[in-house]
Amino acid sequence: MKNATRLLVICIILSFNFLVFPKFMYAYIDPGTGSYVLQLIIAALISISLIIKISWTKIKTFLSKIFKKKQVNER
Amino acid sequence: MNDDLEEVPGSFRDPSGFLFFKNKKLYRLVNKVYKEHYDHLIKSGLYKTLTESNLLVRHKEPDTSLAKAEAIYKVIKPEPISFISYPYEWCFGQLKDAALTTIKIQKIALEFGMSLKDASAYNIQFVNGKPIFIDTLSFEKLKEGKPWVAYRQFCQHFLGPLTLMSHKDLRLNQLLKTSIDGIPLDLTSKILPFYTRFIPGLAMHIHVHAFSQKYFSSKTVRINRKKIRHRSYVGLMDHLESTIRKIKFRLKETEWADYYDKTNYSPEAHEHKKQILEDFLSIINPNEVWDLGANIGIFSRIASKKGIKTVSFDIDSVAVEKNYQECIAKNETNILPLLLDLTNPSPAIGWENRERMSLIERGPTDTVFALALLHHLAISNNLPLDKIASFLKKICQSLIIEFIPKSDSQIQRLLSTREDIFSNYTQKNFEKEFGRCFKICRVVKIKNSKRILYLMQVKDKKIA
Repeated sequence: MKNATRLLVICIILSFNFLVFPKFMYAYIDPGTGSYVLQLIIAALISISLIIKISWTKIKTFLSKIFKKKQVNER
Repeated sequence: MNDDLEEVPGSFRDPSGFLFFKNKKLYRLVNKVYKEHYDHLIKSGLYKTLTESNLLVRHKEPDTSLAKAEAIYKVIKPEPISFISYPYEWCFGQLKDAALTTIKIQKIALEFGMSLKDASAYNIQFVNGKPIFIDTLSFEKLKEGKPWVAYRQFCQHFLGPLTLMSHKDLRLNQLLKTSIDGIPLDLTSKILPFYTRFIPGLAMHIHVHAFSQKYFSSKTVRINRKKIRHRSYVGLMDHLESTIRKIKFRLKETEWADYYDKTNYSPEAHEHKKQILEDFLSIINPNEVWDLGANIGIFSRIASKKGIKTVSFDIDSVAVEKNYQECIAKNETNILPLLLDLTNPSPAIGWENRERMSLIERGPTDTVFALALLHHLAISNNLPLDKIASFLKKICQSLIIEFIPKSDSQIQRLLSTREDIFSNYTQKNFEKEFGRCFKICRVVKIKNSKRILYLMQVKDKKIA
């Protein structure tokens, strides 16, 4: 999880840098490394989004249970 | 290997094997270095699953003496493809379907513990109207924890060109001609409108990807320590697929797309033209037709409905797209719409100019249709009649060509904005120049029209 957070921060910095200072190059030394690293970053983001999704579903289920219990008690 | 084998120039890059012809039959050689992967492809059931879904070309393992050399594991015989087409000849819909097919195959391969090591658009061909993967040796055993080795290639061959076609201009797929390994992502990023940086899939797979390539190009990264989880790997494939699905064809009517509504054909003339074509086809009975300047393929379908394999070429992206969408909607299997500028046909490209074939190298075909085409070549493009005849002679055995006299309203429209320097454009001259290359077999005037249809055969070649 620590690694994933670090990768997320790198990705945000990269994206910010890119959006603010778009630069272009005319030749690659090795475009493969960048593609490789980017996949690791995207994979980390996907993992994080899955964790958030699962956690959010759990929170929603938990809240809806409490809400239902309250409704039953009120009746 | 024997000396009488002819290696296919487009397949030499892969150390796993290559394609070759022997006695005009196509074979694929599998080297021993690929043995482990090939056996897994067959034994895991992946080959069976993909071929049964018509996603991968079928092959046989013929009993042959060809595989006797030490480095050779097997020789396989793939089913032949009737016409090889290239991504710069595909319309938007074809490229998108090819991309989705590649991702679908990759996702199925993952279920069987394999992955595609290539995601080249040249590994896809259109067979019976559907995209199919043709490189049997592109599968490798999945290396757990490693990212997709073909990710960059997929973005360069499919995602980038599709995005450029959708968000900038349909004609930008022609950049695939100048960049044989797909359009470089920094170039794609540079051309795309600024707003695409805020579309999450495009921002990530194109813009940040291009930046990341530049950023890490001169850095040393100890990548072996970093692993990717299988769940995230599959998630990446899902994300690529959804990004591709969201790229839409943005229709802009062009000069040609509604061409058939603007011609000066009466319904009677139109029907008579179709009837003449039917009659000519029943005389020559070809196996394959190339319809040059086919527009949306109305006349191509006269041939394809007779079971003749028909390649339906046009210069206009929208016309080809409409033609392709009709094939999909009606599940047509004998027609292949393709983009082609006849005045500058697809060249031979790649290493030694031999990796991808020119149009002429892919011929000759049995029959060429050149309907309502001659005046565009002769008058709009200043091509002399003898040059047109000698080109057509190179690519066919028989020719069905329409002559449109100068008095026709379409030619009058062409001449309204230019000086008439085309004194040689007469029916007499047409017959004289084409008569040098072709034997004129039938001449039929289209009813209710000034136009004339000719059936010709290349001299010294007989038709039924």
